[in-house]
Amino acid sequence: MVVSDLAFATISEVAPRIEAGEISPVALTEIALDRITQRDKQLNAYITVMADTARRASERAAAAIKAGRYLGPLHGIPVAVKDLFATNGVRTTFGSPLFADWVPDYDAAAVERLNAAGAIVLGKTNLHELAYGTTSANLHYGAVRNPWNHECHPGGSSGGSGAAVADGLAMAALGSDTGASIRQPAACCGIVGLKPTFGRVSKFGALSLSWSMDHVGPMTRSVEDAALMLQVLAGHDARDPTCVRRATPDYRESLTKTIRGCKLGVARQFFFEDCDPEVEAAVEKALQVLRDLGAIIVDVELPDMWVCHRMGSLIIAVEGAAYHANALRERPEKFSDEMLTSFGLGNFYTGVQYVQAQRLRRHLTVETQKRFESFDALITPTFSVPTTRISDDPPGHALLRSRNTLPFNFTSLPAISIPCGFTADGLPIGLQIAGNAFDEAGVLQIAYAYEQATTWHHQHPPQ
Amino acid sequence: MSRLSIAELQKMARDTFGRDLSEGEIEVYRTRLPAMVQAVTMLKEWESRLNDTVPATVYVTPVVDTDGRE
Repeated sequence: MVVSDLAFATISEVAPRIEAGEISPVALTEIALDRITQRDKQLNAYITVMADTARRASERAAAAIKAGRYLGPLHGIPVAVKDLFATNGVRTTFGSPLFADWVPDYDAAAVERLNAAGAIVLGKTNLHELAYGTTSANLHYGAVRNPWNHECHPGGSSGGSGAAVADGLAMAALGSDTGASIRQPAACCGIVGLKPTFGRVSKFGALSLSWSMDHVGPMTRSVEDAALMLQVLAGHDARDPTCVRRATPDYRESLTKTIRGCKLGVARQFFFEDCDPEVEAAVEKALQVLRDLGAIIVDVELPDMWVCHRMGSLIIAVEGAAYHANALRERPEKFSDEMLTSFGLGNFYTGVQYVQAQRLRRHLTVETQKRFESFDALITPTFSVPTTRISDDPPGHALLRSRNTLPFNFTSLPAISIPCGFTADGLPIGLQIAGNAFDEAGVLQIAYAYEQATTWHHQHPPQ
Repeated sequence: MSRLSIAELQKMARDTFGRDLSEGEIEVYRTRLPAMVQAVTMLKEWESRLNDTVPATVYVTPVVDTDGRE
């Protein structure tokens, strides 16, 4: 395998060779750091590069593996961490001047787990300011650029993580998702992004946008890699009161099961409304691939998705305004105008309206889960509009970018985005697969079957 | 959707949120206000159907250990 192949290799391809001593974590880390040096001036995917600590960690990993202490598939794998996860001794900015100098003395739970699994953290990735937005056009740390077209945004808020993984600046990354922020940038960058069920992965040490809507998950180059990452990230953590005490299945094991006979729901109302024709055509082709694999495609109705979207937006606005209330009052100059507007609107709602939205959330979550009992997963476009130029924000796009993803934050259900094609302009398109609560294994199984039947994940941005 | 006038949006903000917004504020909030008004309208429509539905869990009793740590 030559250097350029290694830069775009997947964890599942490289891990056995690391274990066998054929590939050194030191070399792998150097390849990623070299690419960051060469390419991140254009992409701006990283806010902080941890070259020295990454090199030291890679040397420790190499020594441990040589001594027979191989920890598993993430051992020696260079990864990136969205800059809203606390990292011990490394500044954590949240993409905001508010936290520009904050150096935590602890690691977020997800970072702890990556470190314990032997992963090499390369650095902290850029994001939409305070994770509240879907372009990653960060005024303070610079706009992240899409590796497929540097004039376009990479989605957000985990745009730096998406760009880094897509362009070979990390083999995988941590993202967070409050309404779209793992899946939409994954779709924009042509990679895989998984938002697990709420409670599956600890949020301890991940700075909050919205306590009850935030999720933590992996961004990877393949579905199998997402399974490997989730395996490490999932599990109970008493420091996050919303994290569930529930057995973690073997995600990799279930990947290769056939999807013949699986019933896949398609809700055309809502998820396909106002859909870009190229996006719709790509998703229709994906449905045919799934049919050819033996899945049964059924039209279903999920009549309350707009309510889920609107209530989810309300909850994010209110919880975000609450989280930042003191800073908004005391240091408004540290927020961009966009954030002042966004959080300011959270104050428009009353306490009663917030509680009613959370009541409605419980009701609609139960109702949606009941509907999911009649099919194995729901298939939708990840977004209804592909990424646009950084300089543009076409009317209505801000809403459309998160429309198809936010309902699964509101209902807490697991959902993955995988590549399913390109526009005529060469911009990636994503397919979203959502499952019932805690059925990440089922979601990954369907995603893997589709991925193995297509070649989208083998394509990389122009070099 | 046709572009709402400033006066229409000001009425929306006043009727729904009890806020008197200036023309400048309306321009800032223009793209978001209609969706927010729709959210409040949806809540009103649903209230009678919620009956004994309790809110989604947003609070869990913290357990403190002997060192005072949660």
